[in-house]
Amino acid sequence: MTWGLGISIHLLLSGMVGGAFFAAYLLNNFTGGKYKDLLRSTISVGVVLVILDTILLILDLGKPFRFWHLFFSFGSSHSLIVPGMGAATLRSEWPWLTILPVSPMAVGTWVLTLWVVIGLFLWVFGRMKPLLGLAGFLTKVYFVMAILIISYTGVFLSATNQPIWGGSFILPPLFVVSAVAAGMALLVLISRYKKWELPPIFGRSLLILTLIEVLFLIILLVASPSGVIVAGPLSFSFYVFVVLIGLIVPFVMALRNKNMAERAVLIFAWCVLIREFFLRTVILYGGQM
Amino acid sequence: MAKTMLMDLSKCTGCRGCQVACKQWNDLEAEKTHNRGTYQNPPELSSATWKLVHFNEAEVNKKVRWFFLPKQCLHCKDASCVSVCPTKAAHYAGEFVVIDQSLCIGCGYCGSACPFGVPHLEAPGAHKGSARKCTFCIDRVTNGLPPACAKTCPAGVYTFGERKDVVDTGKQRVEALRSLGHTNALLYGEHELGGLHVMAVLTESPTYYGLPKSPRYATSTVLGHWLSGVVTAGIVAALPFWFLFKRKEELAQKKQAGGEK
Repeated sequence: MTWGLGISIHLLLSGMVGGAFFAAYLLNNFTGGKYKDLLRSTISVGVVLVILDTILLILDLGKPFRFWHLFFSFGSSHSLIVPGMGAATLRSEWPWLTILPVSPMAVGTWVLTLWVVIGLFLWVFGRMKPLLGLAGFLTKVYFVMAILIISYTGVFLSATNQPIWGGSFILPPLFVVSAVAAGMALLVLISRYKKWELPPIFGRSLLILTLIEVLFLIILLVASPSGVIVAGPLSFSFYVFVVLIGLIVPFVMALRNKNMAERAVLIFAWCVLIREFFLRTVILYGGQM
Repeated sequence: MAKTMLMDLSKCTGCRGCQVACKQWNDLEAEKTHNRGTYQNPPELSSATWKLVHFNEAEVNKKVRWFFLPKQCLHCKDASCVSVCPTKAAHYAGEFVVIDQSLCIGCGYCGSACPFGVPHLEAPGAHKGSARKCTFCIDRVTNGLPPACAKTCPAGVYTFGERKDVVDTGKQRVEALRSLGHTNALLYGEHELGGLHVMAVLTESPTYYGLPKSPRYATSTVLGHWLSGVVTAGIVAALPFWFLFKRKEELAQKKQAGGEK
């Protein structure tokens, strides 16, 4: 299996970070700027998580010390290396930026890198008065980038020829909804930690989102060879962590108690995060079995 | 003119001479394997096995038959590995698809994108490393020699030459097989993925050989996938967020304005 736990964590982290900013931006905008602090927190938490995610990804590569080739290449000629036969190499002296818009991994690499750069700027200089205009503009850019990031994980897998993922048009939408749900769960955790209040209908919007996610998941499972997930070696993880802990428990909690206590809200958020992690894991592993 | 190779699989005896010749010419190490009750050994292509005879069995007209497939990189004209590679390590060298070992970061995307499952990162039990696969013996071919597998085959499976001649040979062979009663015989690779540089004459449907009937170019729908993601983000923004938050804000403001009046 080429892609294992490291990639599962990457799929969750990048989706969750993009989804958290996406949700916080919309929440702040649709409520007349009441959640600016929450929005700022998603930037700082997001930058830290993406940096950790990047380190994890680099370590997961077969040749980690060559990761910089994702950004730079030398000239347009390639060296031809045949094992045992040496190398015939043609290179220019100056490095060029590696920009390959057709490769989802290349696009994702650049977007996540810019995400960290802009995020650091907004985190450090975002509140400085002379830079407020620029920060406002960059926040809008960040929102567009968040959409790309939450779409990226699904596009990344669908641009393959593996069962379940390959060519699937439902996978990117499923991962977008899943990313926003994970992001909203992260917002719940952040706001509980910072003792901020989220609007009561926040939970309801998360439930609506979950219903959309369930619909997309059913379409994926019906439309693809998903036997390994629903009735094969991954079925235990799927039914226990995705269906039971991730879907049934939060729904029962929400239905039984509309005004959930602080502890219940935390359990609810963790259940959603567990669901999203295992959802991505079973899909990732399922496509390689 | 583009060099192309044709494998006439109606002639293949499964001797694995091509497999051994590939190992020898490319200096690829042997793999430690276990007896799995099949002649197919090692079980799959790997970074140290670039050519592997697949021993497929299927029932045709109530008789069990072998469908040998000497599996290797088919050097697609529209190669999925090239399109997804994030570092340009997988690239076209003339008509062939090769992986530049100095640029490959070992992400494994090429292996997932390939419709034939050819590039591999690791030999079983070894560290992941970089992706490796058949190079079409580019060092031999560019020096006027046929690939090692084609040179060594004792059954005359391989025809190596200019594409037009090879396609003509393949079509003639298909006609000959059909006249001998193999009514489903076909030439695989003339049009698939823009035209493969390793084509095959098959006596039955590609699925009997473990080949996809209609191999898919991995990034052919990538723009649509990006759009489906963005549209979903729009739906998510509109449904739970706009509907619940924005509308509620507006209602609250209207209520407040009504109260003030």
